[in-house]
This record gives sequence, structure tokens and C-alpha cells, in this order.
Amino acid sequence: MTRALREEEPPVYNRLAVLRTERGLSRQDLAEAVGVHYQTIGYLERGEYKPSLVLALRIAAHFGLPVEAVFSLQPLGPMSEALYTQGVKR
Amino acid sequence: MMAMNETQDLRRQMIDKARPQADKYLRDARYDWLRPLGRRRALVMTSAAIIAAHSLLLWVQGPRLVSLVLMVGGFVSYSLLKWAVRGMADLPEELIDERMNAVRDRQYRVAYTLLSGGMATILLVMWMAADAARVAWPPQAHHLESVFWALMFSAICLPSMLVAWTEPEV
Repeated sequence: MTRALREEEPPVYNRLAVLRTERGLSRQDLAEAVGVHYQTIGYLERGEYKPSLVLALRIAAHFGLPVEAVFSLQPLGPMSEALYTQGVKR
Repeated sequence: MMAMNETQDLRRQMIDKARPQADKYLRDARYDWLRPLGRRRALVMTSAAIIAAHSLLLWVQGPRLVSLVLMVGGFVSYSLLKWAVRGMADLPEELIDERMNAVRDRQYRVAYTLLSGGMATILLVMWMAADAARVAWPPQAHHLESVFWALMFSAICLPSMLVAWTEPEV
């Protein structure tokens, strides 16, 4: 078995920037809460770094959301759209 | 089991000791002027030039005052490189986050290949040059000194240089 080239690996999309702004958190605040450097939050938001499972779970837990609401292998739509669709399904 | 616990305790003590210095490297904004990519690359090129000039001078002339000045320059540029990349290449792995560890691992792999390749090449050239049947040029003390300092500076600076050269933001 061979691993795909790093450039060929699927991107990991996330809603970090939206969630962070929504909660009025700076990169520094979020970084301190999840135990990373504030530059790493920037790398994550720009999709230039894929978090480990532990970090992804820690971030999701910090926002009180399931991990798939924050990170996804598919492009993430607006949060309001996701919530509305969920509401309609119920 | 006892020995393992002692080793872990020692490691913990060492990390606790390094923590204040690590916090300085990771948070200190005094060196932000050095951190834009262009400036980091300029620093890498300057450091490489200083290391090369120092070794070349030692090779050609042997120890002189100028080579001592360049040696001090080499240590200063090492220190600046460390600040420019927030000590990413040198701090204990427990004190930097997972992204920094990943960057460090990647650059150490490259640095190891470059350094060991360079060292093997230098050894081969010196061995061939010293071979009486071929060139019959025995290296003298200042030649070995020059090689020693070139390898020494490369070993301590190369990982930070690679991080400084490649990372879009530090």
C-alpha cells in the first residue's frame, strides 16, 4: 500500500474562523484554550495544516460541537444553512 | 520500572527548566521584525555567507583575527535564526505544538540528508587528496579546523535555516 502524495491528500475544511468570530475569540484565546501556538490556529483556518484527531476533538469540545460540525472532508456550507436543513428534517 | 520513572522525572525536570525560555521564544514579539519571509530568507543567506567565509578563511590562511570575528558572527546569526523561527528547531518537543513538531521533523530529515551527504563528500575528497599515490596532499591542522567549523555551524544552524527558508509564517 502506498500513501498519496501530500499534495494529493483531500483537504480538511473547517468552520474555525466563523466559530471563533461568532464567539468573539481571538486566535490567541483559542490557541491557549486548546494548547497550541496562535500561529497554528491561523494555519488551521487557512487549511494549510490538518489537525491531529486529538486537536480536532479538543477544538470541537471547546466550541461544544460535534467534531463533524467543525471539520469535514467536504466543503462546509454556511452554519445557518446546516441548522435550517436540520430543523426542516425534524 | 524504577529506572524508567527516574528517567521520566529527569525529563520532566528538564522540561520545567526549559519552559520559561521556551515561552520567551514562542511569545516574544521583539523579534517580529525578523519574521517576514523575505527577512528570514535574507538572514539565512547572510548566515550561510558568514559560515562559508569563516571556513574558507580558515582553509586558506589558518586562524586569524578576521576568522575569530566571523566565528562570533556565526554564533550571532545562529542566535538570530533561533529567534526568527521561535526556537522551533531546538526546543524540546513537549514545549512546541503538533504543527511545529511536524515542521521540525520534516526539516530535520532534510538537514540530516544534506549534512551527512556533505560530510561524506568532504571525507572522500580529503581521503583521496591525502592518498600519496594520487595527489599526495596531506591536510594540515587548519584544513581540518576549517572542516570542523563548517560542519559544526551547519549542524547547529541548518535545521533553523530550513525552517526559516520554507515556512510561510512563523
